[in-house]
Amino acid sequence: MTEEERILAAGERALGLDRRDIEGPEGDRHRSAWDRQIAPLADFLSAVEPPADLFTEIMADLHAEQARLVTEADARTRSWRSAAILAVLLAVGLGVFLLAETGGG
Amino acid sequence: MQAFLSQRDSGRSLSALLSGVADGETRALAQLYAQTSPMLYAICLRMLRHQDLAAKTLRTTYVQIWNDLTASGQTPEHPKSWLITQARNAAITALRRSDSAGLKPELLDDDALPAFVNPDKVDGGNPERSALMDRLATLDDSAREMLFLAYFDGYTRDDLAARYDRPATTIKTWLRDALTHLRADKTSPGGAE
Repeated sequence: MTEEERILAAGERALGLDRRDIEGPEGDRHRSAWDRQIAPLADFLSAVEPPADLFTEIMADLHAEQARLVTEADARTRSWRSAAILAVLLAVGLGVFLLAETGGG
Repeated sequence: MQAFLSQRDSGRSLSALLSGVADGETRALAQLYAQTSPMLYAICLRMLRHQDLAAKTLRTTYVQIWNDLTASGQTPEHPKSWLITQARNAAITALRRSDSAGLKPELLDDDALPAFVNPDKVDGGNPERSALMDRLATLDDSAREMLFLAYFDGYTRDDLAARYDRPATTIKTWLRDALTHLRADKTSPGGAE
């Protein structure tokens, strides 16, 4: 693909005609350049107020996601703690066993 | 909405607001939403032609904006075009998903969609927009219409082929010719810059 073709392919992606994103950093740069160039088209559309409670729903989504992340982090912490306790118990058990073996022998 | 806003945020630029969002400030997100949601909602509504789907897509867009910015901690160099791209990408994804799922929601009539306006009458002149309009004016009517159908209404090449009763390969050639005319600086290595 020539440079010219890459630039035009990026233009097609910016228009939404092509969803493939396979061109790496150079393709991304061309795509961003097109995005900037055609963005003023949006000014030709009259603004419309979204539903009144939508921002509250967005905040609820974000809180729910944060809560999920905290729960996942807690679960990870709990499993690490359990693994650590288990490792300590095994080490203590092994120590006791070794002491008993050496003391008895 | 008002509960999230403060007087201090009301005059902040888009760059400052995106920077605030990247720092995890919900007040900055609220102000960003207040400033930009009517524009982004119009984009989603025009493309999806369905109020609930457009609202859901807008909601996804702002959650994504929050997640992207707070994760990277960086703000985009061109805030407005970045925001528009986020909303268009989300709307195109929603549109293609509903098409591939064979969903046929009851779509809004043309007269219920966001109308086209002359932006110079709304916010005065804008050099970048004027330059783009000059280049659009060099296209013939059908090429300009195809670009608008793709940009605003989410038409694919196949949709355009059906509308103009031409093979998709012909449409691809026409669109590439139109994009060649639109390129701002044909000598720049960056292409469209």
